[in-house]
Amino acid sequence: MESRVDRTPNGSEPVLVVRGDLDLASAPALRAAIIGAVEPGRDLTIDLSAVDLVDSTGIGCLIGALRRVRQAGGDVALRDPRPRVLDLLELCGLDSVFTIVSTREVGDRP
Amino acid sequence: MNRLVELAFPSRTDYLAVARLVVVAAASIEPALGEERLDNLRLAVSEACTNAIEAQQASGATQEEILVRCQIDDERIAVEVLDQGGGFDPDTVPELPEPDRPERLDHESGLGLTLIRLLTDETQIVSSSQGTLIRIIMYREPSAQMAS
Repeated sequence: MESRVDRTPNGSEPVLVVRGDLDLASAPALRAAIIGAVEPGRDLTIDLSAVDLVDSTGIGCLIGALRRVRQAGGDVALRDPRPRVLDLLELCGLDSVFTIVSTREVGDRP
Repeated sequence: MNRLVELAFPSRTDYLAVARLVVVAAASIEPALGEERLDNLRLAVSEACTNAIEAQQASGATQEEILVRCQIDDERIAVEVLDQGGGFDPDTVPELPEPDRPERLDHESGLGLTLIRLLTDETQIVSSSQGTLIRIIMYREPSAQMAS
């Protein structure tokens, strides 16, 4: 897994861009990246557009992100999850817990 | 047509992707599972292997290998994941709070077995203090489950 922190276009909010599989192997790095991206009073966007697989450990990391960011006074948005990742969130009943945002145009390939 | 594909891997997290690849490749041999069911199998295998790795690490059995066995025939693929960890009682796994409850955010784990059961056609778990066997079955045609 690779990650980097960008900023939203207006520069005010952090965006954690993640690439790779989110599983037990990548969980320590993902947790560290999330902790590093949390800023007091600011929302955090996690860009999942380049994430092919999220399993329950990855879901756990995202839940941990939500808890940490809310404790810091912000909220978490998941940006452009692929359909199978979105399906998993729905299966777990967590699609309504996270804010899901899409920047893709209709017809774009994930 | 009956085929057997086996993989034994060290109790290390970086082998998770290998286990997923092997099982998906075995299940992709014609007649392959459909794409969505293949994705479900891949995720279920990831969960079962995660459970195995964590069980062996928790019990100190890190030198033991984890065995993944795929039995493939015209009707179905059966995947067994066998570890030598300390075992658990699959009937007493705690339930997670409902997703809309604030305390749900205090639980970062505990979804794995639920997902395996939701994603596969059949799941069997046999566990003792000597280890755990998780057996997953996916039928090539979902309707075959009802007919068998």
